[in-house]
Amino acid sequence: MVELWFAFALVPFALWVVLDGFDLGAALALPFLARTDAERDEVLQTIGPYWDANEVWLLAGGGTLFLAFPALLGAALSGFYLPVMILVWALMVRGGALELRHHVHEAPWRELLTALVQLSSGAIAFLAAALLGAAVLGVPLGPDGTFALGLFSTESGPGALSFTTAGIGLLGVASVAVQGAFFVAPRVSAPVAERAYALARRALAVAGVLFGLLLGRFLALFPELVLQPSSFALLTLAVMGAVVAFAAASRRSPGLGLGSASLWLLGLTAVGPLARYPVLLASTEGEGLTARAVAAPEHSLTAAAPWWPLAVIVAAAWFAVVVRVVRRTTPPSTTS
Amino acid sequence: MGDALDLHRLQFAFTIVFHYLFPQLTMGLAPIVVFLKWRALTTGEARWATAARFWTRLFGLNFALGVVTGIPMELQLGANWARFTHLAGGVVGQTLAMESLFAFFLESSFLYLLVWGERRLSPRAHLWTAVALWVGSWLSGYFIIVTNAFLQHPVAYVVGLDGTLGVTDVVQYLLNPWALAQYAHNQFAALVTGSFVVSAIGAYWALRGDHAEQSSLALRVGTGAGLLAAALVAFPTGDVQAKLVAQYQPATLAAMEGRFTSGPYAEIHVLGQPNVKARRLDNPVGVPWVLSFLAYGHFSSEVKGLSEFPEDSWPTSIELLYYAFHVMVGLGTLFLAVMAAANALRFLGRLERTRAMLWVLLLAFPLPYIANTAGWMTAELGRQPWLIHGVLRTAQGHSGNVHAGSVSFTLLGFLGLSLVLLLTFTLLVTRLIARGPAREASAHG
Repeated sequence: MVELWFAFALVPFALWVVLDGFDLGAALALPFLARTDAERDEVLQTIGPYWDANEVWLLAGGGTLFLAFPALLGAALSGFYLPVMILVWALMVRGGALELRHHVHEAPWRELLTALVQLSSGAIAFLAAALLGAAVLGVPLGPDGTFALGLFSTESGPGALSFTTAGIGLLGVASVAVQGAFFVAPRVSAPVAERAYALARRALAVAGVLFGLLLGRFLALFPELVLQPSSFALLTLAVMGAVVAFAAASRRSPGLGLGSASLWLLGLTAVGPLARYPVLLASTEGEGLTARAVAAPEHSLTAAAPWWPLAVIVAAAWFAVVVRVVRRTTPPSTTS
Repeated sequence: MGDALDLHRLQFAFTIVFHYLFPQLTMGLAPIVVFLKWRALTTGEARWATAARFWTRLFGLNFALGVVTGIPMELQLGANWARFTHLAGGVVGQTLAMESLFAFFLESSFLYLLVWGERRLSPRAHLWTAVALWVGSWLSGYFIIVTNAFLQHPVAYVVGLDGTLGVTDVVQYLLNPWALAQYAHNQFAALVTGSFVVSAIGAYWALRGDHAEQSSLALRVGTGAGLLAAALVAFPTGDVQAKLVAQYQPATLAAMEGRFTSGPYAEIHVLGQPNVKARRLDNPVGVPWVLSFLAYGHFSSEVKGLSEFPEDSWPTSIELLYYAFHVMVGLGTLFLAVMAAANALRFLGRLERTRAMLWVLLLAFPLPYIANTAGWMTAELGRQPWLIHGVLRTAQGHSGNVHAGSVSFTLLGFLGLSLVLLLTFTLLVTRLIARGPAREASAHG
């Protein structure tokens, strides 16, 4: 049952990374994609109908951990208290700015809100990736299964943000920018699309360099984790995704690009948690929190096993309806 | 305020009170928007469509603020209340996960199409997006009420050897009798907010002499729904809720009434200040027999006073609880009077010309927000000193690893962010109302 719930919990997070990845990426890469207000509107309009539902996958993932691995959720969110709260503020600012943009028409207002959307999107991608990295690297877990980490490492002790986790954060930013570029490209006018393909190539190059540096760092720290077959397979898959995505950007093939960039993102996201399993929160002091140790009582896991998959299907169905309606009804002028 | 526990409580209390200003209007306005769109579709009259468009725009703005202020809620449970999350996640996590999967996806998927999709969709399909938002927002409310009802009156759970709680029967958990009563009471209270806001805006236009057709429509729909909601929120739903408190939280009932000694023919107090140190109510003005009747259905029923209960099971803020309850009941009574008067005038065809009544309707719009907040304060302060009634104390639920300095920092952050959000929202809503429905005569999107 615990294994089943681990697999379940991966689903909403995987969907969040791939789906919110494209709207976060499109928003944080605005300076590279758009030069005029009209172009910024064009880019943000492409994610308008989707970003909110995409973000709900993060909440659904949180809800799933709450139900299945409550001790993990409690330990991680309280241990990473400050970066988690800053992430919460970034999510609030982004949601507010994206929605309020619809309701104002004056240039200064829109300029401010656009900047907030862009900065908060960057902060979300950066912090989410960095925190995942910090959890995989390990936290100073106490005997009661809790820990407390400050925002960043200082001489007096470790923090959530170190050079390594900041590197992972930047890798996250660069990777979702690729995802965003491929999503935006077929939905905007030709000059913006051209910039999107150029951005995809450049962001992939940056991500590649960061990936190489981090791979070296992880190989030095945890050679056995990196070289185990499942990690090797996932990393190979991710790298193949990146290579195909690069080619797709050169050939201006957005569908292939989005698919292969998703593979890159998914491989990078999943490799850490899968390599650590059955440990869900690694510790620098000992064994860490295993799935079994942090799982909810068997009663709860059994009770939720029938309704949870059904709920995910229903949720995905609503989203599919909206995608279809938007596709069918988007006026041809904005699809280029 | 050096104590981390107090700061954890203050932060959660502040963020949830601020958050709930928005969902109560969302849930109150959703059925009204559906009604307006349905009338537009069936009558084919432009005034219904224009009204639906205006209220949808306000609904969309308000909904967005609800989403934004709601983001910290679930995350704060894990971050600030980690021990509670650890122990009770197996139970309350069920409904929190259900809320995101069954309700949030429905809402987030269709909000864009409701607010911006009128030209893209057929009128019938567009009506369905409004229905989706109504169902989604009310479902969301139900899952939250079930979660809260478990804290008030835990059912369908087992305690494991390690102290963690597991759910034994999801259906029984979802149909907690406390949840059903609380939900009915809460939803009509939200409809009170929705209808007072609609009436107030109608009254404002009428006082200004603007948008005659739309102001008359808003007054009609607002006061009609307002009377119905104000009546149902008191009886039977408020009454059933009070009887549940009397049955399962007798110490809370005593504290709500500032009642320290037991006895039959108990009076309900209209005025008075609880003097906890002296164990009495100062300057009491009460109506005898009524409390016994309301709580147990007989005038002669014995109502227990706080002296019957060990002091460590008394609610921790008796004064605040007492006033929260009395503000809620007092305002609830006022709502019924205001809406009865407005409907009488409407029946006589004089509502739009009676400026005094229009002023009352306009100025009354903040009161349902206060009453809803006071009602929730009654529920939550009444639950103290328990986090889960009879199972887990509040003092045992917070995160021991998050110190007062960190919580002060984030509390200040939430205060600042909320202020900015509130100012922006107020500015945009004021603009929307000042422009009026005329601007909404053509479809968006």
